[in-house]
Amino acid sequence: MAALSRQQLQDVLTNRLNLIEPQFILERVGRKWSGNIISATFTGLKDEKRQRMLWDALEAAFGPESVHIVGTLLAYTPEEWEVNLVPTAGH
Amino acid sequence: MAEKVKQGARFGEADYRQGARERIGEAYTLLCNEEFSGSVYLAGRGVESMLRAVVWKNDPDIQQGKKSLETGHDLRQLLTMVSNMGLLQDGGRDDEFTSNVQKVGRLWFNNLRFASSRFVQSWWRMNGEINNRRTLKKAAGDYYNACSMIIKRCEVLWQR
Repeated sequence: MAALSRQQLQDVLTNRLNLIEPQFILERVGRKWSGNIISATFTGLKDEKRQRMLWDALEAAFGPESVHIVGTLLAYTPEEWEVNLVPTAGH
Repeated sequence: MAEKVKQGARFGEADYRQGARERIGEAYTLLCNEEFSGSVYLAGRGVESMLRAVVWKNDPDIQQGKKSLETGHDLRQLLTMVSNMGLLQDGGRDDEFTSNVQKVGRLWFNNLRFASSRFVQSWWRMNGEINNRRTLKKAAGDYYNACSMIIKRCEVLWQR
């Protein structure tokens, strides 16, 4: 598939997971997008469950290719993230 | 050539951070495949790497090469260093962070890189982490969650 854009990735996760007011802080590492996702949707869920949600959504959208285009995404609640950072142009 | 590269390699905060993120991602993949010893090893290695990233970022002497980050692989010693830097909050949130590092420090050690699943099972049984009612699968899932929580909290500290 063509290179995945930041916007495509954000849209897929936001729409498939119905993320509440998500904030994405993404960086490209090699060919893969990796980064942090902050949303109240993750409240009350353990990290194993959050990862399963993310990867289920990615695999549904991109199939087996998902592991080649997405790296580690860490899922936070707003309380866990605690700081309001503005992503820089390089991110 | 490879040996020269190894000798010349000097890890910095960004290397430790990126390595940690990759290790916890790999640990999740192995956990899903019920490859528990690999998952346990990599998640613990991710914790070590992320604690190192935080220490490195907050210690100018280490950054300038005046001091090396010689903690061995002792997670509890790395926790002490982070705590002594005044980075942790009193009460509440970082109590959980601290107890998670202590838990992982009890269950993980550097030579787990050589360990079979049977060894991990015996080691964790000796530590009371698994028993007749609590399986390795359940314990490995809880351990993954503890490691992930530590790495995520360190990421927040790193971003400051």
